[in-house]
Amino acid sequence: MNFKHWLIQQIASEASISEKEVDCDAAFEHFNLDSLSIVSLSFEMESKFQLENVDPSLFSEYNTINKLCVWMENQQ
Amino acid sequence: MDGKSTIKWNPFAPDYFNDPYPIYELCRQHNPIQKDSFGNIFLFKYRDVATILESPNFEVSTLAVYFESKENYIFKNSPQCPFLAKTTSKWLMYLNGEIHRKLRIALGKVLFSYDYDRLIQEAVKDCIRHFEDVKELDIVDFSKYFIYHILCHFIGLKDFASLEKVVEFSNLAAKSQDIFVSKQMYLKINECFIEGKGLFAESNFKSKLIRELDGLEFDEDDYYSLLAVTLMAFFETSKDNLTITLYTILSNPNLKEFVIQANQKEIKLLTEECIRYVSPLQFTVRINKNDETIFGQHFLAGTRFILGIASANRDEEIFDSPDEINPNRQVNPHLAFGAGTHLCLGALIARKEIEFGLKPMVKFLQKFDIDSTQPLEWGNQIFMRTLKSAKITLR
Repeated sequence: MNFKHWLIQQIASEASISEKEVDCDAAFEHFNLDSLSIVSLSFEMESKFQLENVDPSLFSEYNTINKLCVWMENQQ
Repeated sequence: MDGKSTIKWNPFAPDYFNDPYPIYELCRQHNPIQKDSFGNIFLFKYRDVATILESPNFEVSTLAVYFESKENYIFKNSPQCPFLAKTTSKWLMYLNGEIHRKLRIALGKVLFSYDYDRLIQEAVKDCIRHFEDVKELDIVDFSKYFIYHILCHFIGLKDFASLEKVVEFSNLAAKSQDIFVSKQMYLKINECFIEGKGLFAESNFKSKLIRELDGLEFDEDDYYSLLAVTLMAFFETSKDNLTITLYTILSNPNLKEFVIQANQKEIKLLTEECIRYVSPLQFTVRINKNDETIFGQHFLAGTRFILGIASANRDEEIFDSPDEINPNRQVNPHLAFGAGTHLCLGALIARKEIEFGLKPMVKFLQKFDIDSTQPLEWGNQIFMRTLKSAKITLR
């Protein structure tokens, strides 16, 4: 699955909003995700996209969906 | 706080689990009070950690309440029955006020009705006998076997509660208290807590607990919660304390020789020093009951303070040469067992395990060499540091 689409789905599900409402340029804080959801998302990312040791602090450094997609492109 | 310092505590940095002490030191020196993006305040200096541990204005955070608040999230789309909050509901280290006081007195009375001097000395002999003819061994397995044999003699385990099952239960119970745990891991822990009910047999220990807690309306799950926390607290930290202590002493010829020649008083001093050095519980959490102004900062009531116990125990302002084991450290006000009303209930037993075990164990293990071809394997745990494997081979 496309990483961006997957991320939109995950954020929508975590924040209990529709996928249409997910703004790819909005900072993750905007969705009120707590540490548990961020850590769980990193863990899902690891297994879904065969990444190694995704650091949950990645979400503060690349703090929007679009920024995280750029990071992801550089991993491949 | 934080200021412009670029030094940040980051448990996800490479090598963090192998050795978190260099980053603790940097934090103490350059950024001792840090706030993370979720509003947690991390403290690294001895004086800050000790101040909060001893202050009546701070409470422990309630783990079961945290789990209750997260149940909808953790168990969404899962067929599992939520059992995290129930299993942890009577864990003393997460309770405040009257219930904490009552449970602490009751569990303390039951725990100290056993003759640990005898149990520990027998377990030392039994453990050495068990590993007598092996050509290579893992110090982690050696320590597990030792602690398991003390535990079995008082807590009451069913025959099928093998060492492996106790190890898994204890480790996942320890993980349930860690920071930055994913819901996938919580689901695994939940499953283990449900199955863990089958580990415990009807026992003298449980009957004594029921007698001591007469008057409190506890159900079977409440007693299970108490047995679970006793098992975890007894097994996990003792095992890690002993493993890291033995490994460190066996790696250092001077210390090895010191232990073999030491008298009882010297062993007691060394025990305390090893507990400071190892600090199996690396962090603990406290919450301020009211708005507080401390360290020149204002904190709203309910702020979570993550106290770096292990970092405090290596603070150079308090301890000379803090990264070394000094067998003659006369003044050793370490915080490895916490402080204040939540001081570790099993501290005396943990001390006895090392006091009785250290000399005969080092004498037995000195014929082995540390296998330097096999790197030490550390567990990915932030709060309770754990060694997964430390192999040694017969010389």
